[in-house]
Amino acid sequence: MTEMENTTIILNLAGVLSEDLSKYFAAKGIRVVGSLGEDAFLSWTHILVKDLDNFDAIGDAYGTLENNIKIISLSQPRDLKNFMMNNGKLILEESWLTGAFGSFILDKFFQEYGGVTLSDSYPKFRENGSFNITNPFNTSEYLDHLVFNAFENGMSALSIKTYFDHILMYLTSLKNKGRVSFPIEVTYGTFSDVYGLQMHFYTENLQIADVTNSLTSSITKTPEEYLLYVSLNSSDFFDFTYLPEVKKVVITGLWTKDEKVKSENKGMMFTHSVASSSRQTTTPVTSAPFVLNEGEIDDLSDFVSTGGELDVIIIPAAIEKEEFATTVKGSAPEEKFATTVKGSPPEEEFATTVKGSQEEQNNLTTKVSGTREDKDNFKVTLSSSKEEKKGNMTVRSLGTTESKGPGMFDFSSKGAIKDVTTDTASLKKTVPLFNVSGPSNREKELEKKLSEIVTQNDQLRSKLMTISSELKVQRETQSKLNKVKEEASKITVSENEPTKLDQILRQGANKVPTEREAKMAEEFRQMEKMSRKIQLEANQKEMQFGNEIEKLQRLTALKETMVEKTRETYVKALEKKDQEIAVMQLRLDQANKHLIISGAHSQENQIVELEKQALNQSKMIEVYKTKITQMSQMMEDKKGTETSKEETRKLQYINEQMKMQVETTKKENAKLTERLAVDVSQLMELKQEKLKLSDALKKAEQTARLSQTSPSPQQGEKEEKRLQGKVQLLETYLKESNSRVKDLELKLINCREPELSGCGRWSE
Amino acid sequence: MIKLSVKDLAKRKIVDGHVYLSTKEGRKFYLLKPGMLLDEDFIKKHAQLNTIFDFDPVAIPEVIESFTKLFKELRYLQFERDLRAQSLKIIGEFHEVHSSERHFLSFAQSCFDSFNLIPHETLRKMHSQDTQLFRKSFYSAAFSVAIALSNDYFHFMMLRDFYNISLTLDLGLCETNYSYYVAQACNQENKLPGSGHYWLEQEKASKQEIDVFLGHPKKSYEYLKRSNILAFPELAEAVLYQHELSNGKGFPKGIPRSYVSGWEAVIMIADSLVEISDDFPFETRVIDHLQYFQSSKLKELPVGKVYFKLKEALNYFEKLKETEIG
Repeated sequence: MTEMENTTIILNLAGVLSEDLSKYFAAKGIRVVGSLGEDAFLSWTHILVKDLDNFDAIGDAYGTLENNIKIISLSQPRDLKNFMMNNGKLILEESWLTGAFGSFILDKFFQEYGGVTLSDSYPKFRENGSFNITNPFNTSEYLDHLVFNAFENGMSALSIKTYFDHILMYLTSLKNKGRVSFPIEVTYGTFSDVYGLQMHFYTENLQIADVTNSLTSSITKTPEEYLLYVSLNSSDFFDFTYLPEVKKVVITGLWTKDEKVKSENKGMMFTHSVASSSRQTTTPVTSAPFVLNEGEIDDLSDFVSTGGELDVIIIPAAIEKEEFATTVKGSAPEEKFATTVKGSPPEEEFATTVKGSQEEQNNLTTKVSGTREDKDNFKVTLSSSKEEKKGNMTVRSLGTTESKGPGMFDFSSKGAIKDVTTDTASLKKTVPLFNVSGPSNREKELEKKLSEIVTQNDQLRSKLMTISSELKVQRETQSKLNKVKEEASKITVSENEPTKLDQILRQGANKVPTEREAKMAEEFRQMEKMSRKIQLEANQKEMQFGNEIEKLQRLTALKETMVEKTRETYVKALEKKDQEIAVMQLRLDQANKHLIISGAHSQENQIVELEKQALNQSKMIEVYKTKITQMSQMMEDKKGTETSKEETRKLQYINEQMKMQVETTKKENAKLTERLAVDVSQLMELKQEKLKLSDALKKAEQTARLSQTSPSPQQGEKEEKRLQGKVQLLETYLKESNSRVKDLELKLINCREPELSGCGRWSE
Repeated sequence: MIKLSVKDLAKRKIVDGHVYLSTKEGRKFYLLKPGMLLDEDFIKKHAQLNTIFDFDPVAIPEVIESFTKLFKELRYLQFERDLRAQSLKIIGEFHEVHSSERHFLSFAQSCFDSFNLIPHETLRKMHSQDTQLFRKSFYSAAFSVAIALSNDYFHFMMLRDFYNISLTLDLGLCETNYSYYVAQACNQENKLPGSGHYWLEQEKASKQEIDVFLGHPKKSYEYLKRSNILAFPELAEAVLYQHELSNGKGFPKGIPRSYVSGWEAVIMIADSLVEISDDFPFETRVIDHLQYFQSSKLKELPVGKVYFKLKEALNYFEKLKETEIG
């Protein structure tokens, strides 16, 4: 356990903490206290709040800026600016603590460590990549890598790119103002289901206004006003850490896959980190730009600060005006008291202007004047109107009373701090509303707590009354003493007459019981402080309960509207049904009438026809039934044969093969027809030759006949033999050519045969 | 070895080779070492005498020219893709320089020609105090360019700032009461972190000398702020981290490693890579020197990531070369 953890004391104004958060605080040895009893005098380092939207009251009451008390909000505040201006440092919904990362964030916040790379700030992270930005308009490739990496890790690339683009442009705008220096170094990585992107840069004179001014939620013509807001809302957790020793700012955006965290909370952290180990030979840099100075406060019109020196008395408005006027405001003579507060002239020496929020600026402007010397003794009273006394519990009383003289706060605007005002009477009225529908345990609890608070308030009032009566006595003596002092100051005392002055002073001193008075005053201050704190806490609790009640009211209202709507729909449905019934009734009546009018004969005929139709239809149905059974049988058969598919595949395959064969035979056919044509031509030639030969044979026979008549017998025999041989040759030649012709004809027939009969066979 | 008259030598502001003077007996005197500045006194003296020197060149004019051309091209590039490609080109060339016989001096010479903005008078002041210190700064500055490029700082203006910051890093030592002891304390600090101060005390250095040692980062920083030569003035902050250590025990700020940014680490590593000494490791193989540095000093410095990016870049080109050969 570190020293820092031991010195951390948290004032809990958030009510009951979740089990995880309580466990965390217990494990780290962090004290979580209330504002009552002994705890009221502890020096808190942090204040824990929930469901609070305006932090001015807390900032004023506890001096969060002056005392560097950091505010931790367990819910998302509506006005981030206001949160930050009151030293708001961490926004963390308790759902973050369900995972391991929540405690890690809290560790970082409470121990205030950090570093320039992601692994330095969040040691559990595995670094996936890094790059440097020298020119903000030259980042495309790096950004591509980053977005791709995020996408690979299951993150929303859209959110990360939006975040990066806007934060970079925001930093560029700060660079133009001379607040930020380049290069910006970027590292990114993952841990469990969380993705982190960290960038750091050197900065000089970065003001809190540079951050808050870019948190505008609406889109304006000047992007600088909303760039940070967009990037902040594009991340699930936003961490802004300033390292004062090296003047560097580290901005980390975290994204989680946890849908609950994503939808319910945008976490945020603003921290100053302190180097853990160092051996410094030179003076460390002490100028921390995030500490507000007077100049900055003047610039920020909505920043309300009463200043640590002013003693503001917080009075519950329920006290009767008479009591209020006599006990708190100061007893008579009122004018003299007022003069005392005013301080001695010249009055102009000291003047503080306190302003309200921008909306209230016109109505609320209070001037406190007096000398600087009187500043410490200066007391401010806040008065309340009679109308608001009953039922109103306010942090400051809000009244319409006129300023009773110089040196007094005058909140002339009615309801100047409306946010922290809660009407208890109306609250009381709202509670029974829940009782009607049967109060739940939670409601009962709330009622109980509310009544406790009311009793506490009553006790406080009674205490205050006793104190105020004591104060009355004290004031009287004080005024007397002042009178004496005034008299003494009027008397011109020369150096030669010291005894006279001594006498006067002694006279005055004898009249005043100084010790008792001081004690009482001290007690009164303590009580005042206590009452203020109790009041604040009560107010906070009231607000919480108010919120709870509001939630419950909303729920019941929602339920009521739902019931109302369902009732309406039922009524409508009923009406519709009624209408339908009416129509049916009408039709029935008409049918009845028609029956009466039409004759019985025609009715019989109609019945016969209808019967026939019915018979036909029943027959048809039977036919269809048989068809269906047949079809179902066919279907079953088909289902039964598992090989059908294979067969079709085979058939398809055969079909393909056949087609191939057809193609090839077609080609062959073409070739054969060509050959056939050649053969036919040959045949024709042969036929011609045959004819020639037959002619030649005939001629030869004729010549032979002629030769048989005239020539010598020896020559004739030779010639005859020659001719016979020739005839034989020609005959064999003729036979051969005939057979060749026949063969060719056969071939031709064979070739045409498949062409003619093929189609029928392949189509099978 | 070339015979040169002083006129030819005077053209080189930074000597890119060894300069000897031969006596009548044939003996040679070592006059200038590579990387030193030619100061006016030297030129005046030898111009009157009309001395002829023996010049042994170390840098290669073609290499100097090629780097200068690459830097010039880089200056006018606008788009990220082009800048990256050009920086890769330069690292590739640097790889050639450091792994081959072509010397690192050529690269350093080219860097000086392309980036130096420090007035000649300031450089002369440094040189007149200690030539070794000047040479150390000269080489450190060149290293800072190579490291910055391999760490994606490829905008010309930023490289120029890195160069000038590294060049003036130890200028604070020369401002007042410079002594070789004080410069050696810086070496000690780089060798054994946290030992510089102790070493000076052991050597019985005067209080003034110790003050000079402890205050020199701040003085160098103030000089840079005054001179207004940086395009990114905030980079001068890195001067204040030159003797910071990973455990936060360095000086003058005493900040832990987790607070040191990349740009600061570039300056720190460039400073630690070169010692103020008579040895010249950069005229042979820089990669050997890097190896020595890695094994001896790196552990204690908060610069690991930046250093390994340089190594990574050089290894990439080494592998590329191997595959080409294969």
